[in-house]
Amino acid sequence: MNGQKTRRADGAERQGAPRSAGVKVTDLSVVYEKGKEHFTALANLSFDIEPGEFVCLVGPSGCGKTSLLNILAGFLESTTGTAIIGNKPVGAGDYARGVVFQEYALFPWRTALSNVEFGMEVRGISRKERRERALRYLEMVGLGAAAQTFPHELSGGMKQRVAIARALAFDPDILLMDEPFGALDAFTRDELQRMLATIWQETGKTVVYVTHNISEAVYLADRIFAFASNPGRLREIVAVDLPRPRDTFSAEFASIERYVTSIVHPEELVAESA
Amino acid sequence: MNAVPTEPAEAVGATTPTAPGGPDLVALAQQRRRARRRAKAASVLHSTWPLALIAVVWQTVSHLGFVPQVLTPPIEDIWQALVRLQTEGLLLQHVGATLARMLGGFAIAAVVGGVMGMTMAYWRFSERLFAPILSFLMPVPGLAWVPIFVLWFGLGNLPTVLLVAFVSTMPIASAVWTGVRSTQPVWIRAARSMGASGLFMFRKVIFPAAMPYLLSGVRIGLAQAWRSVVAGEFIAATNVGLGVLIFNSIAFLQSDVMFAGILMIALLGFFMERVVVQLIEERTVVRWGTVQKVGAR
Repeated sequence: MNGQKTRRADGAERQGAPRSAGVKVTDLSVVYEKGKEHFTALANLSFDIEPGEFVCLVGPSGCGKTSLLNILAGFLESTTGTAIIGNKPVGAGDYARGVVFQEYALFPWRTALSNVEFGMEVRGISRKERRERALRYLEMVGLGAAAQTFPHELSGGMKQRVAIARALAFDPDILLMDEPFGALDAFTRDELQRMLATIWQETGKTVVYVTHNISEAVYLADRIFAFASNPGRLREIVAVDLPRPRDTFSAEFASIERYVTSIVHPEELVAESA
Repeated sequence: MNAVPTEPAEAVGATTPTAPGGPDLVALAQQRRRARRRAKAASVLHSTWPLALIAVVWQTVSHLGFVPQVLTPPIEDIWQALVRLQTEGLLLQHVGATLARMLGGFAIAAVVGGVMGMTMAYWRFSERLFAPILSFLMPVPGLAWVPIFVLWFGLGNLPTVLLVAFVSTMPIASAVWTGVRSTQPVWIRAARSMGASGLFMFRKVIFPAAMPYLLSGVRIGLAQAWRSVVAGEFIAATNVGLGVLIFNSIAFLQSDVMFAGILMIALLGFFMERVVVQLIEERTVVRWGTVQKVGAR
């Protein structure tokens, strides 16, 4: 009935260039002080991320990957150095970033639809447009039918779908994801990884994605940033040049996975032959 | 809405997505509506049968006559007293006066307690100042303050209204203080990442997040207010009010009037707690899944 309307709205959005920003990090350090003790979570980190790139941060716990994500999200201030998203320094407050948390962070007092509307509400977008756009994003994550349900009625995987729709619907410059599928069962995780890869290709957003699951990183990332701990530092950047959608059973996939594992867990002595 | 289609299925077949031989959606919806009505009736029954039990025991004691009837007047006498008060036009006056004092005091408490709890949640000095005062004064029953309030503020409406305000400010402040602090940090972060701040953050995140605590604060505040309004009316010597009605009836041993007053207090309190607060609760925190429904175990 109103398919025509939706199609027109879709077309309008595709005409405008997708909002997507690059990241420039220079000499970033994070030092936590605990009494007289210092803990260096990140030391002198510098890198660039291209607009529209999918970057995964992997590494053992305590390597500073979550600290880095929190800095980009504006939740944490770096001790030294700068981080710029688009052309705005992070922490300025007016840059738009969609964040997806492992614990979903949906507002339980809002329906799925109204959760997705939140970011647009902040921006003062009219109710009618908000509804339409939120519904479109819910449909994108396959939850159009669950628009009126409350979060407590949804499964973990469904909650995270809503959270992804919410993080994207207000059209941020960048999508930051902190182990988003870490609490899900393996089956649901695979499903959501496939969905995320598709959505990323459709929207062209820059994604920074923290995970400890190396196979997940190889499946999703253009580039994998492998971190080492104590002090937290970037050990190596691995480009993943595999065609998408990626075949997780291919020999190339396995060899990249093995290589990244050898960087992240060098002590495990991953066999280099074979 | 309630029109039940009497035509055979093919008449509605064009509009309902029912496959031939599939489930009848209209019947299903009706069935669900009926089930809901039955559940409602059951919940009314659950909250009334213990009262019916008390009534039966009461009537038995009253009519068997091993205690003087003036001590346990039978329900029909209490009812008579209520009818008498109603025909004299006094019942509404008493109820109205008590409700006005209570709601007036409670409104003051909501504003003062709300502001106080908020400053406690956001401003450390206020927290350090008020938290010990609250934990020191909150256990004091409202009744204990009545003579002092009469001494300070004289007779009439003022001491009672102020007593209600004073006594219910404390649980409300405490609830707001706890409620604001109980907002999950990840909700704040999520909202902040989407650009929310200031008043928007407060209205759309912190307030609903604090809702379970706010409701329990209102509930305790109302109960306190109800108690202290009656206590205040006993002593502050005004002409109308349910407390006055009860207290003055002792002079002529009108126990039926006393119980009529108590019954009104109970009914109004029951209405406020079980109907108003519980209804708000079911529309908000229960629907959101943050608080379990009453009796859902």
